[in-house]
Parts: sequence; C-alpha cells; structure tokens
Amino acid sequence: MGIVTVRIPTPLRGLTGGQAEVEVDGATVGDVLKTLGARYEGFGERVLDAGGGVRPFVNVYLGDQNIRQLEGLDTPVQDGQALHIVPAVAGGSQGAASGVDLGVGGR
Amino acid sequence: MNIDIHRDGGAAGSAPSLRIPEGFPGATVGDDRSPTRLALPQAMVTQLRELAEMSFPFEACGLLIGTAGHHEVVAHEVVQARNLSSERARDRYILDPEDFLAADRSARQRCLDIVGIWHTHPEHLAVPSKTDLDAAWEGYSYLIISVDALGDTVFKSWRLAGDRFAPEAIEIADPSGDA
Repeated sequence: MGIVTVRIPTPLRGLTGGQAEVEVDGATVGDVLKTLGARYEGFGERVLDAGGGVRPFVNVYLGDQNIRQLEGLDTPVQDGQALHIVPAVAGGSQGAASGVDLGVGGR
Repeated sequence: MNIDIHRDGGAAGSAPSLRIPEGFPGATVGDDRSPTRLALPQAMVTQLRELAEMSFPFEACGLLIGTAGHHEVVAHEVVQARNLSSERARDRYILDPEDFLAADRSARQRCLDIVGIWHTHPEHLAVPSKTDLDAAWEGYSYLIISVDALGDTVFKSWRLAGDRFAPEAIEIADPSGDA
C-alpha cells in the first residue's frame, strides 16, 4: 500500500487535464489503474479491457519491469514507486505503396 | 529561416478509414490545439538519413524528443529504438517499449517530452500504411522516412486526426544543409 507516481503518456494526457504525472494511492497496480479510471473519465477503458485486463496496445511498467512479467494487475505497489504507462508503438511499410515519392528528399 | 520540405498535400484524403489502437477507443483529435508543423534541425535530418541508410533493407524506428507547442512540435533529439519485429523487419516495426521507457525518463529529466515517432519505409513511399494507421496514437508526430537502395530518402510527417493521418509540414531549422 502506498502512493505511487504514475507517468501518463501524451495520448492520454487529454484525460488527465494535461498532467504528465499523477499521484495515486493503492495496494496493487490494478488498484492504481482503477482509481485513475474513477478519477479521470474515459481513462479506465483506454487502459483496461472489458475483462479488466491491460489492453494489448498498452504496457505498464512498475519501475523497470513490465507488470506482465510480474504479477500483472495483482502486482503490489509500495510507497514512492513509479508506474509508467507506455503506449505500444508499431507499424511498418507493409501495405504501403512502393515507387517514386513526390516529396522532397535526397542525400 | 525555415525551409518547408513538406509541401505535398499528402494522402490524407485518400487514406482508408481505419481504426485507432484497441487500447485507445473513442479517441477524438483535430482540434485547433493540434500542432501542424514539425521543426527538425538539419543535424537531425542528417542523422536520420544515416540511420535509414544503415538499416536498409530493414526498418529502423525510434523517437523524437522535444517540445510540443500550440501549433508546432520542435524536435531536440533523435533516439533510435530497437525494432523487435525480427521476422518481418523489412516491412514491420515494433518499437521496444523499454527503449520508450528509457527515452521518456531521459526526456523528463531535461523537461522535454516524447513528441514524435519515426520509422523508415525501405523501398516504399513515406506515406502511412494500413499497418501504421492501425497502431497509431494521437498526440505524436509520425515521421516516416522513405529510403531506397541508393540511399535516397524522403521525409514526411503525419499526425493522427480522427481515423486517418493528416500531413504535417516539416521545417528544417538550418537551411544550410542539402535537404
């Protein structure tokens, strides 16, 4: 049980009034995320799925460790720890057009 | 003096209607607070070209660290991240979330932020693919660098606007380069 600092990624800051970091009290990572969901409208459904698990496009780190490698949402938190919400970043040229571009570039 | 190297109207009008990430339902963007211009120092353009060329024919990816203002994103630093897509690295990238975490911590210490995501499109246009759009988040500049076997590059920046990407102008901070 303790107060943790949660780092909010840019895409979710519109829900936290622009705050990049918020302090939340809780016993587990799940508690913290649920509290955030109650405090900031829309936050919960963007981080957690309908079943209450962390959405696949979202990573949650407690300190340096992904909670998926710990006890997931049941991972206990301690006073002063940092929780990081990290958006999954992916993509690629698969399906993109190939050929000569019209933009400006060069070497 | 700035040089706008992105005068193309872009493909936003023809972009397919696609979803935003499953982790981000119901996103709305496109209000007048959204930056519409990416300021990129010439040294960073050179650095990104080199990274694109060195990684060819595989996709390289990383983050842009800087500041986001009212209508402009200013990049201060390029960070390269690991591409975890080992089997499809020619046309896919999965940015290592631990590199994201490290970059965010480093940025925060300097009162900066992660403001953009860059990746290369080897032998493909610098236009977002369906794969890009499927995984896109609002609030970031998406800088795509087309690179071919000769090392020629094209830079274009995009920003998620609702269910599509809108083009974002690029301004080079130092016009003395060869862009």
